[in-house]
Amino acid sequence: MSPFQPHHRAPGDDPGHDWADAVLGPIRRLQTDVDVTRTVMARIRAARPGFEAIPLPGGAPRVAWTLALAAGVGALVLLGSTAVAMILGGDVGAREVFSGLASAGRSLLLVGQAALAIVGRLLAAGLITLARLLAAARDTAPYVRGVGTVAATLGAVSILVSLHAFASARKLMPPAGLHGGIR
Amino acid sequence: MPGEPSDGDLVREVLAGNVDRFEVLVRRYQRLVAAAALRMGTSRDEVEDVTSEVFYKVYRSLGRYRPEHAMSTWIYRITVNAALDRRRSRRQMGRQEEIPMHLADTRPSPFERAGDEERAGLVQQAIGRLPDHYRVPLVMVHAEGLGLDEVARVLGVAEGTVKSRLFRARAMLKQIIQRHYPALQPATGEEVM
Repeated sequence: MSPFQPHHRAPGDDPGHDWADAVLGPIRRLQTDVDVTRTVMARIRAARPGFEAIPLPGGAPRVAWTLALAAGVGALVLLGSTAVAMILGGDVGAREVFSGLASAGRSLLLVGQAALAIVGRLLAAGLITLARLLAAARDTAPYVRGVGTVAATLGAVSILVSLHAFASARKLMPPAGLHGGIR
Repeated sequence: MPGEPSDGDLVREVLAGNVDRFEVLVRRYQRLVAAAALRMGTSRDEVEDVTSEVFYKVYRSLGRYRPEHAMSTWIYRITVNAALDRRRSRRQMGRQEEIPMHLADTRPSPFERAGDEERAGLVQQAIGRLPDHYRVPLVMVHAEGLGLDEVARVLGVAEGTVKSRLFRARAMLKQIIQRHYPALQPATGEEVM
């Protein structure tokens, strides 16, 4: 038999822990001094382009944020004041906008009412169907239970057969390699 | 060490986007990784490359790290896999180093001249003849000095499995040394039990 048969054990052949310590001593004393910090970090950064935001110098972000906020508030105030001036001044455009909004509101109301009616009818029909289905389920319950029991039994038998097949396969399986164990 | 961030803290910081903090982990574990790769049979000219590859893999898998496990064990596991992958790809590429005749020669005179490094090379060749699942626990216990429980955790197998693999690995190594590298027998000339 080959000495490399994985599961063959010959107790008398083990030369012992200390023997192996002595033989592997030179490997144990192997040392190496590498510094991969720069390589690794460069690779990581290269793999994530744009991951880190480019920092703006000094307090530039704060100034930019403040200016943007001020500009936004200013634009909002201008828009609001223009709208108020148009309404107060009786502007034709403003009146048309108001009448348009009122029409849109009325249309929306009508569409909503229609949608509600449709949903109500659908719900009523659904409830009736559900009641019929429940009645049918009550009538067929004994048959369903019977079929369920048969299916569950078959499932249990299938699991047992699978377990047996796995156990047999494991017995016949060659020993797992290192990667089988640690991946 | 007091004042130094824990591995778990560093992982959290890196995952939160502070990628630069990964550098601390690299500095902390690179010697361990390089030495482990070397002892697992990676050649000296490839150790740096393997170490770098290991840390890149660690970075990519950082989200899967579970802080209840020691970072060193996790990194060690990745190192073992990387070293084995490198070894296999070297074999596939046909770059498997042949045993130089002057080293494989069983006559004592060249060996006596060999230093520790050269002797380590011979031991690497001898244990290189073992299948991976025997060689790896052998190196981890007798070269890395890890306990059986640590080896079991790294390899993801039961302690009993580690014991039996070690047992078999030592027996096989003894046969290999007797047949091909008699000069590697311990100096006493008798088995130390």
